[in-house]
Amino acid sequence: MLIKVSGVKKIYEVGIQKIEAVAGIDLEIERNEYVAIMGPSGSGKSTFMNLLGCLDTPSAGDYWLNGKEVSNLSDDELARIRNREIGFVFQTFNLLPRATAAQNVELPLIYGGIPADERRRRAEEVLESVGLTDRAKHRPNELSGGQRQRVAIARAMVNRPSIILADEPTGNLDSKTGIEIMSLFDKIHQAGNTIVMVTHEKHIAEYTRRVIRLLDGKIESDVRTG
Amino acid sequence: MAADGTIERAREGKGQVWKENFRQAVEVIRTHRMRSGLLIVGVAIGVTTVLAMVTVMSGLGKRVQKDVVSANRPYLFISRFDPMGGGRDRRDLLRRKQLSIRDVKFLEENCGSCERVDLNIDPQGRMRVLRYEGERTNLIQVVGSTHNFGHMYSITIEHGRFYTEFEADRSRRVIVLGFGPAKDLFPHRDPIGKWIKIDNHQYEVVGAMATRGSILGGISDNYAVVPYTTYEKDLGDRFDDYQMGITIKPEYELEEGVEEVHALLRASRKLGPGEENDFYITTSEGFREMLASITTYISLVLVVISSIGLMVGGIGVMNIMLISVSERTREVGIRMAMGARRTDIMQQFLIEAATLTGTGGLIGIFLGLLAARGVARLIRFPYSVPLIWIVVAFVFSASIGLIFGLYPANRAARMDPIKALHYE
Ligand SMILES: Nc1ncnc2c1ncn2[C@@H]1O[C@H](COP(=O)(O)OP(=O)(O)OP(=O)(O)O)[C@@H](O)[C@H]1O
Ligand SMILES: [Mg+2]
Repeated sequence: MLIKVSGVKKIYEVGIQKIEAVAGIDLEIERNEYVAIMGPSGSGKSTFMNLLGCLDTPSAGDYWLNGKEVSNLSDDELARIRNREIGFVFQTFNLLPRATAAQNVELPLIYGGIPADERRRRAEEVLESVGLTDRAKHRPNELSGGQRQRVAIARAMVNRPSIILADEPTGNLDSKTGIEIMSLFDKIHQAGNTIVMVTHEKHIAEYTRRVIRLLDGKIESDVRTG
Repeated sequence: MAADGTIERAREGKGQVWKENFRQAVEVIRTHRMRSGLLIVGVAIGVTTVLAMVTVMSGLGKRVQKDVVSANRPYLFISRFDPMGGGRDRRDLLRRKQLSIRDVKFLEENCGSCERVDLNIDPQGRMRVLRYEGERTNLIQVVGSTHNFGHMYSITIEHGRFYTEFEADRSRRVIVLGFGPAKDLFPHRDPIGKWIKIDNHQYEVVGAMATRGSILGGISDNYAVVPYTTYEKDLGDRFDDYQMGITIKPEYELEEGVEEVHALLRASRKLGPGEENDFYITTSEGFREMLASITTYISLVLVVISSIGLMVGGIGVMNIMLISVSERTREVGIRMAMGARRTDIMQQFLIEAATLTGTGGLIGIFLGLLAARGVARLIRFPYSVPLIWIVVAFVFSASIGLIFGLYPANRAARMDPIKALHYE
C-alpha cells in the first residue's frame, strides 16, 4: 500500500465560521495506480492534494505514506518527504522565472543534497525523457505553455518520487497541448509511476484508471476504469 | 554501510544548498543591479570612512609617538608644570622659577642614574627669519640648547656636526639648521662654514640636520638650534620657557631615575620640606601612554560615529530584503514544495543580505585603504595596513547584512507553502 488515508479532515477557521474543506476521507492507493480526482469547484480537491503532498497537515485523521505515518511530522521532516517522496505538477507550472529549464529541474536535487555533476546528468536525462533536450538552457518565458508544463513534469520526476501529484495540470493549456501532456503522463504511468491528478475535464479523466469524485469534502464515488 | 551513506549524503547536502544559495544571491544581486548597487555603495561609503579613519588615526598615533618619544632610550622631560595638565591658574604657574643651567650642572654632578642632561629654551612659538645672501627662510623657531640636544632628540646630522660644549660655554654664534631652513637657504650648496643672519647677528652654520619627515609643528624640520648661552645673549625674551631633558643610563630603571632627579631637583631649587614642587617630570613612558590613550580614544569616537552611518545602511538592507522577500513569495513556495526546509530559505535570504553588505564592505576596504594611503602621502606619516581592521571591517559589514537580514529572512522562512505558492 503506497497511500492509506483514514478519517482525514481539514478544517479552516475563518472568523467564527468553520469550513470543513476536507470532511473525513478514507482512501487507499496502490503503487502504480493512476487516479483522477474530480468534483465541483470548492469540493476540497486542492486541499486534499495539499494534504497528500505534505504541504499541509490534516486537522484530524491519519495518513500513511509508504508505510510511514506522516500526519504529525515536523516542518523539516515534511520538507524531506516532499523532497524524496513527492513530485508536484501545478496548473500554473510554478517554475522559477529566472532559472533555466535545467536549473529548474535540478531544484529538488539541490535540496536533496545531490552533488552538481550528478544533478546535471540526471536533469539532462529527465529532460530528454520529456523531449526537451534542446530547451535545457531556455528560461520559462522563452518556452510555450506545454513546454513549461513538461519542464515542471521533468522536475517532478527527477528525484524518482513515490508519487506524482498534479493539480489540474492541463488547466492552463489549450486542448491539443493538454492531450500531449496527458500522453506524457501516460508514458510516465507505464514506466511504473504512481500518479494522482485533479481535473475538471471528463476527457482528461478518461486517461486515468480510477476516478474519485469529491463533494463537500467527502468522497462521493470511487470508480476503477482500467 | 547504509547509515554511513546517509550521513555522507546529509553532510554533502548541506554544502549543496549552501552553494546554491550563494549562487542565487549573486544572481539576484546581478538581476537587481540598481537597488543592489545603491545599497552596496552605501555600505562601501560607510566602510571607507571607518577604515580610512582608523588607518589614518593609527598611523598618526604611531607617528606622533615616534616624534615625541623619539629617543630610543627612556628619558625624562622636565618643565615648570605639567604640559598637559589643566586646573591650576596658568599665570600662577608661570611665576615659578625657570629651570636653569645651574640645575643642569647640579644634576650632572650629583645624579648617578642620569646619562646626559640637556637644557633647552623654547621660544613659545615666537618665530624668526634666517637669511643668507639673497635667500631667506619662512618664519621658523630658533631654540636655544646645550650641546646635548642632538643626543636628546635623536637628531641625525646630515652635514657638519653639532656644536660642542666648549662652544656653548663661550656663547659662540654657531647654529645647527633643521632640514627645512638648510634646504631653503642652501638649495644646491654646502651650508657648512657659511654665515647666516638672524636680525643683525651673524651665525656660522656648523651642522645641518637630515629630514625627520615629521608632522609635528614644534620639533620638526623647520627650526634651528643655537647654544643656550648665545640664545640668551641675542634672542632671549621674558616669554621663553626653559625645559630640561634627561636620558637615563641603561643600567637604571626609569623609576629610579625619576626618583633621583626628583630629589636632586628639589635640593637644587632649594625647596624646603613640605614645600610644593615647582617643576614637573614627564617620562617618555608617560608620553607614550598618554598619546596611545588619546589616539585610541579618538579612533573609538570616530568609529562609533561612522558606525552609526553603517547602521543606517543596515536599515537600507532590511528594506531591500523585505522587498526582495515579498517579490519572491511565490519562489519561496516553489522551493518549499520542492523540499527546501525553513532553515534553507532562511539561509538563502541571509546569504543574500550578507553578500550585499559584504560586497559593499570589500569595496569599502579597498577604497578606505586607498584614501588612507592618500592622506598618509599628503601629511607624511607611515602608512601601514591595519590587517586586523580589514578583517573587522569585512566581518562587521557582512554581519550588518546578517543582523538586518534576519527579520526579512525569518519572514520568508515562516511562510505557509500553500499560500506562498498561490501568491499573485
Ligand atoms: N486557506 C483557506 N482558508 C479558508 N478556507 C479555505 C482555504 N483554502 C481553501 N478553503 C476553502 O476550502 C474549500 C475547498 O477548497 P479547494 O481549494 O480545496 O477546492 P477545489 O476543489 O480545489 O476547488 P477548485 O476546483 O475551484 O480548485 C473551499 O470552500 C475554500 O473556500
Ligand atoms: Mg483547486
